[in-house]
Amino acid sequence: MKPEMRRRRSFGRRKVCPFCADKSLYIDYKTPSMLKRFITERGRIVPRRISGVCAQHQRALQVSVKRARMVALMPYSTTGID
Amino acid sequence: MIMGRLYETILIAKPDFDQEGFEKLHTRMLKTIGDEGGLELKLVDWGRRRLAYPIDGHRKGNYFYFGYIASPACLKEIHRQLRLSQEIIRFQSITLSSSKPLGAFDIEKEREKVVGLTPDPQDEEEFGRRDRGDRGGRGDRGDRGDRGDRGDRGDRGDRGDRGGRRRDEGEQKAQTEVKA
Repeated sequence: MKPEMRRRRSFGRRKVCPFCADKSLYIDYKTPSMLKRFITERGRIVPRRISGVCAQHQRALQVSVKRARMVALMPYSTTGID
Repeated sequence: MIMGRLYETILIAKPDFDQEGFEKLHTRMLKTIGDEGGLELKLVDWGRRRLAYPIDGHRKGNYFYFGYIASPACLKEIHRQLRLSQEIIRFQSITLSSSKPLGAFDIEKEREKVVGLTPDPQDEEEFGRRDRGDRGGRGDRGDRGDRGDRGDRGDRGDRGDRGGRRRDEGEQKAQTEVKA
């Protein structure tokens, strides 16, 4: 990789996984108030390159969001027209 | 030795569900669990909540959280009962522990694991925002009143060739042929 390319990518702060930073945060499908931080306003799961969540926690998050959707605690999608 | 697991099930009953019918369903579930040596650990009523999306035309549902130890065969039977029930519109079971002999469960420890975290009422507002509930009938709209003169319709312009004359000719020809 060319030096200038590396420099361009290295701006900003390194994101830290919120679940690794705070061990008390528990990923659970029964608490949509916590999960909703990781979905877009359209109801899609935010990719971890954006949210900074680590792979293990993203996996747990993904399962939880899908379970929450199943029991209508979270939407599958939000269109704006209802 | 019957093996069992720790399960939790979320039930969503119809918004206007029959309390008595639900009690009956619950006792039947308990019997199914008890017959095999399982145990109910927790039943939490989350109350009536707005659904994030409509299910079978319902916008609201009564949530119940149910934690128990049962055998897999027992779970299957519970699911069968839930599917048959008219009151339940949706259910979901989650496995919380690995398989163990039913006698080997430390009841108090397992009870701690079944946490029926009640969802924050705030979430409901967040996801159900667009649902304004039943707005009631619109009532009598009253007399619409005279709509007034609609005015001159104006020139409809040239309507063009209507066609169809050729078919008439053909018919005439056919008739003359029959005569001849």
